[in-house]
Amino acid sequence: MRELPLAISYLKGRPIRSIMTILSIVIGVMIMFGLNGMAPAFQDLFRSNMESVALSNVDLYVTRTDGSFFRQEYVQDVSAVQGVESTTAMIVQSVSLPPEHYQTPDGIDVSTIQVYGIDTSVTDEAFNVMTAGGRRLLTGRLLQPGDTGLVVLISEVFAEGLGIGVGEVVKLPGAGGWVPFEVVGILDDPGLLLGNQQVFMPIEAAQDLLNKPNRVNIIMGRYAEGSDAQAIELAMRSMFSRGYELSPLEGGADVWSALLEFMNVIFTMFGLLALALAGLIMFNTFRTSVVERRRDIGMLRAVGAKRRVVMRTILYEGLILAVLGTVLGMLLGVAFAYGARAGLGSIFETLMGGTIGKPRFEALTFAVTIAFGLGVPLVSVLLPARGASQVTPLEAMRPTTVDQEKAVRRSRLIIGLISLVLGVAGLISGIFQLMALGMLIFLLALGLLGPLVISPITSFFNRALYLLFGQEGGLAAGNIARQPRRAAITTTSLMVGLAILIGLGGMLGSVYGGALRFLDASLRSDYILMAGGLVVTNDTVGADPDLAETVRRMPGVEDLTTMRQVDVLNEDGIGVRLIGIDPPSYGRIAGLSFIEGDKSAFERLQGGNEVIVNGRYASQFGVSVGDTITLEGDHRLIDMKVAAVGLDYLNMKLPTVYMDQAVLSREFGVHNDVLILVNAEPGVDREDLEEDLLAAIETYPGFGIISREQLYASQKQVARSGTIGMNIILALLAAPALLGLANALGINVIERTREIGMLRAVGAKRRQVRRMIVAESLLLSLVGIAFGITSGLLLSVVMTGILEFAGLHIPYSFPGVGLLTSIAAGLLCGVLAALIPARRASDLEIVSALAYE
Amino acid sequence: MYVVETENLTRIYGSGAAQVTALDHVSLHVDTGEFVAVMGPSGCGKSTLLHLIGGLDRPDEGMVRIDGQDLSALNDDSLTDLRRERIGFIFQFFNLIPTLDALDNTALPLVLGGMKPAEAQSRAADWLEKLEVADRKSHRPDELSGGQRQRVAIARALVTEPSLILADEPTGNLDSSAAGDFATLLRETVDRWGRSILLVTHDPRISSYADRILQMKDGRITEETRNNIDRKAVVVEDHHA
Ligand SMILES: Nc1ncnc2c1ncn2[C@@H]1O[C@H](COP(=O)(O)OP(=O)(O)OP(=O)(O)O)[C@@H](O)[C@H]1O
Ligand SMILES: [Mg+2]
Repeated sequence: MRELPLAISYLKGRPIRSIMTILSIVIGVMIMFGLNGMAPAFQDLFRSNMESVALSNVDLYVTRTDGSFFRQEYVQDVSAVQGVESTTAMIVQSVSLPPEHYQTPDGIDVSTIQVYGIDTSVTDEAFNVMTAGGRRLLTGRLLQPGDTGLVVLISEVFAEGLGIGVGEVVKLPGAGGWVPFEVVGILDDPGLLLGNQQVFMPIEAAQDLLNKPNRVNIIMGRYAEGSDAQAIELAMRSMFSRGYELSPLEGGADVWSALLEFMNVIFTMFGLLALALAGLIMFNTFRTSVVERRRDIGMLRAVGAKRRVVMRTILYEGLILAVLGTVLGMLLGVAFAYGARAGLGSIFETLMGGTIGKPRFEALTFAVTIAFGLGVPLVSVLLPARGASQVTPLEAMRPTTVDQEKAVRRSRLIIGLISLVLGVAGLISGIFQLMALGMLIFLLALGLLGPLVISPITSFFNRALYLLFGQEGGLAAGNIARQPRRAAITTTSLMVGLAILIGLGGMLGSVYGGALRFLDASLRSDYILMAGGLVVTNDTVGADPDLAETVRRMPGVEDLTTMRQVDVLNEDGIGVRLIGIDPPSYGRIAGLSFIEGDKSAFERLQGGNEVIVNGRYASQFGVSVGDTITLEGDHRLIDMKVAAVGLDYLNMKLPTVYMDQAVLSREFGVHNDVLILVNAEPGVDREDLEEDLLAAIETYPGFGIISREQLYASQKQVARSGTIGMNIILALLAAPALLGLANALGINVIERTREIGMLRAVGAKRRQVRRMIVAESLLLSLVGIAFGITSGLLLSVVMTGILEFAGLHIPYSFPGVGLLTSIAAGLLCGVLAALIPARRASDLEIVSALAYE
Repeated sequence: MYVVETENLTRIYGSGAAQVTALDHVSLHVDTGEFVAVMGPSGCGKSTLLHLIGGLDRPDEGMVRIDGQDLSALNDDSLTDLRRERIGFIFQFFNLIPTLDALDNTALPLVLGGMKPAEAQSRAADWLEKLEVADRKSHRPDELSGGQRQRVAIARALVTEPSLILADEPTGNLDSSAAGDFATLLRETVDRWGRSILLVTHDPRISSYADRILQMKDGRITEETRNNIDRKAVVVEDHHA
């Protein structure tokens, strides 16, 4: 243990540096711990409604992959399977509400009603559907055997929002209009998504409401004691082959599940990058510290310290800093998580109609954070420590104390190139874990190859620096060019920071910019009449063609087009969305952004055997123009030829097929409109028209109307709310980059204290020293920016690609503004980071600087 | 006018009980073309004296005049200019910037003074030539021998053609023959190029090359001896002409 006091004395001897190093670990740990502490709350929010169906004692769930309905008689088939003791059928279906129709007392908009249709004749306790999945009854009664009429259980907030109690009536939207239900019981509040209200009713009532006679979408079963689960599943598989799932409901193509996946991806990336950054800073600090202490270390060795002792001393130093940093970081992480909840909570409430729970720090979060918080720094210190142990006693006799850089080794080049290839391979692999790993390897490769290219880059900027900073600029450039490795390490933190900024910024820009562009391309009409909300799902209750006819004949209406939709299975047994359009009017009023093919495809749709698929469909199933796709129709398989690939705003996240409405009604039995896009005649009185439109939709429950301006404003609002949260996190990530740069520059100055003293002795003015340091910093920043931009652009392309796995097909858009911002931010960072070191350098007292050991 | 003139130069380090009077009312002068050596036991204030004369540090009392210019009247920048133009430094260790090669190290003061690098380098090359290390000009300090390093240091000290050279134990890490060579070089600097030298050394063989030796003890000059050097007939090249 004699190394420990030695280690502590070194750390105490360089307090500023020790603090800077701890700070870098703190930020990495804080981000990792904080974000991971927040994650469970978000997950709860998203999962709350999906999991409410999954009951613990149920062995078997039969659903269709897309959540669609099937014949209730299948229950009997399941019951007949040997070993299945009891069964029940159920309906779980979301129905959209028009905006601001129902609200909770807190003003949260109830945007969806999740209808639970329950078989009230069920006797098996395992299916506690009768007790509404175990929710507590506050007043009234639960559903009882014999209930088949229009009775419903609702939650407390919903009842309070409506101002009703037991025995009173609530109107729910159905296929045939608003249907009055009697409230027989009030339940405690559900999970977190208050904007998504669950209502429980007899299965017959649900079938009526949704106009799905004798249809259900879930069958549950319980196995008999000691039965062969595998045999049962085998039997089930043969009964429900394609298009069915035999496991708890997975939410199908739910918007939130995609979002959740996306958020997890981003959180993990943030944490990893922040810690990688901390590791880098740590590595740099220790490497310098070892170099600086060569003479000390040589002396230690000369007076009898073994290599092992030297190595351990350095490792102890790393460990002490890592422990302090990790503990502090975790404390701040808790604060960060609570702060983020306070800051982001309101955004989430308005966006999603839910409240975020308290941050929760699970054992795994602790374990992972501690492992990385201690592990990354220790690994980073390993190399410098090894370097230190290789210092010979002779070094103590040498007069120079600054790193003597040897020529860049060939092995470094080779390892660097291999890492680059591996990193890029990982990045484009398409598997998230590999992509994350690839990203780290890629950054490592940049770090390895940095020194090789830094000299050429430096000489490239040399002239500019000379013009800007005169002699000092030349000196600065010389300093950098002569110590490429040090320069490379210094730039890396900025590079990584910028890479993250540009990568995430570019991706977000693509998402929001792209989304608004699609919006423009696909919804150009003055008004949109829509069933439910903009996000139309299979359960959206449409309007019969009469509505469109009424609107068409309305004075002041110039033109309109309608859209219908249904979700079906394709030849791969995967749920896809079919959109029925009226090609001529759709082409006039709406439209698609074409990836392959062009507008002429609309005409070809009318032939009846051609379709347009969206980008998501094309990439997911690997089809392009001219290919044939097969869809499961009502009574047969239908082959359709792909005429074009295009995108629209509303359906970009799902595999979608656009076809003529005639085909949709003939083959899929869909006749109802879910969207009606209306163009007003120029110069018409908009207020009159709006009044007429409102009157027309009066009898169509769930139908709403939104003007183009409102739509834009609301979508922009959504985009803005999303970016605020992201920007906070981006800023948090930029902070360690700045710190890293400042740290590295500061160390460069400390390392050269004597050199600077000597410069001052032979005639460098304070200002000159300052300018030299700033010039150096700027040059390093430029290099960091050049590297950061390159890798950031690559990252943003990749991350945009990752989004596709989360279900959003977004064409990459070049983050032009982001780039300029990043360059500016990078240069600013460089100058800011240099200010303190430059001050320190110019303020050095010559005599003591010369005596600095 | 003397190149260097000090009056009651005093430097006190620390305060209270830990107070050390490193320099105690020292008055001395160095003539143009004079080589003065300062000797004395360790800790007697030799380095402190040199630092004050070189304007690297400020005295607590007394004053320093370089070519008649009172240093206390100068701000940091003018002091730096004066140092760069009129004084050349040679230290025991760490004379050279490790990352710069011999040529760039030599050219450094000129470059700092704003001279075009090309011109600064050609002048630096001349001095390296004169000091017979021209063949090492693209080597970095760690690739030079101790003696070569000190030659480069002299070249750097002379490159701005200063009137005064201050050297603090410049031969401290040289073997005796290299130290002898070095002393000869310094003597030549005075005789051929007309510079003045104030040199701190422990080595009597080095001080024997000086015109005058000042003995110090406890921050004071206690003794002054003149060497009667047999000056060879050397033509003095006057670079200021
Ligand atoms: N920064 C300082 N703080 C306090 N005391 C100092 C400082 N620098 C020097 N001293 C003290 O001042 C005295 C003179 O120091 P100086 O370095 O001038 O001695 P020196 O004659 O050059 O000795 P040496 O021959 O060993 O180099 C010494 O006693 C020393 O301890
Ligand atoms: Mg001394």
